[in-house]
Amino acid sequence: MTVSWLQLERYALGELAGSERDDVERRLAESSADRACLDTILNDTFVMPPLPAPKPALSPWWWAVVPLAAAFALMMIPTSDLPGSPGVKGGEVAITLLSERTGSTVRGYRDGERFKLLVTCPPAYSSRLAVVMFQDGQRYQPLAPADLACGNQVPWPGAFTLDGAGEVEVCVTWSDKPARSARELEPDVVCTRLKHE
Amino acid sequence: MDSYRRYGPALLRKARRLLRNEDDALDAVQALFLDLLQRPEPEQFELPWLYRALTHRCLNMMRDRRTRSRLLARESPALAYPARIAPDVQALGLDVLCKLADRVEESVMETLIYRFFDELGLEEIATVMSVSRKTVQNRLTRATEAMRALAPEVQS
Repeated sequence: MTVSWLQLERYALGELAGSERDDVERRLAESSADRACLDTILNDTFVMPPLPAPKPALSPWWWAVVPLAAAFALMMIPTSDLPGSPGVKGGEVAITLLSERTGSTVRGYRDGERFKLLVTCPPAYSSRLAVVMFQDGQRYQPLAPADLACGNQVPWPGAFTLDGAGEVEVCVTWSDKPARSARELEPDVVCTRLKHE
Repeated sequence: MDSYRRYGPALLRKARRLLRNEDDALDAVQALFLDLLQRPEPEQFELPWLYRALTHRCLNMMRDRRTRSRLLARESPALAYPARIAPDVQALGLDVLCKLADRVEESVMETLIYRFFDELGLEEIATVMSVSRKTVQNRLTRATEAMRALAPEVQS
């Protein structure tokens, strides 16, 4: 059995103890391939450069615009489009897309434009949510799934870029199905469409 | 940040294995710690947790089409590490990984990376991801099927 890179790294850092450490040492004694991997760790002399200065926090005007824009976007979402399922009642999940650059809600996108996603979901809701995007018959996952602390207009970690020429459907789903279209995810999905500008 | 100094090199090696270029690997690790620094409460992070956070970050980079183009342009197979479990999978190249990332769920992709690139055992993956060993096995089966389905496209 191979000693994983994670175990080798922890071993090199002196983080393994007791039987775990003994086990790794026994396997290192038996496997030259594992020893070679440990050597690459021990011989890596790269020193981490200092962390760059963090980007400044969002400017005050951005924070002023977001709640207004988000409230406006919520009003624009027809409740009939919202999902219904045993776990989440219709109208309880909503999404808002904001241009990362301007902080305003959008109806279309330009090539290379970046977006942030806000999700409104019931505070007690604990299912894992995923962002999926459909464009030109293809499915994309622009952001990692997240266990959001649900609430009103909760920002999804990170931002994503849109490009291409076709209409894009950006969805949040609580289904694990590898669907090819938003329709296949119904009713466990809520989506918004953006046209290319 | 102590965790950055202590775990940065280990995470950088992981990012290199996956992204196969030095600059983006370093960017990914530094961006991860910059995000962690912005948490309201300072925390100490353990390596398995950081491994997972970095995996998500690298997957995001592969899915983002702008970042993806850059990654593919900068890919350097010379940064590959000795492969012990699945040399054929590790040799697939970033392009195939990016295509897979579009087609399978995050959890499947994450499992594939732990198994074939970080070379974790099934028990170890189950512990890192807080799932059962059977779930890990099922996800690996799905990853293998997706790779098989992608094969004709790659060959052409």
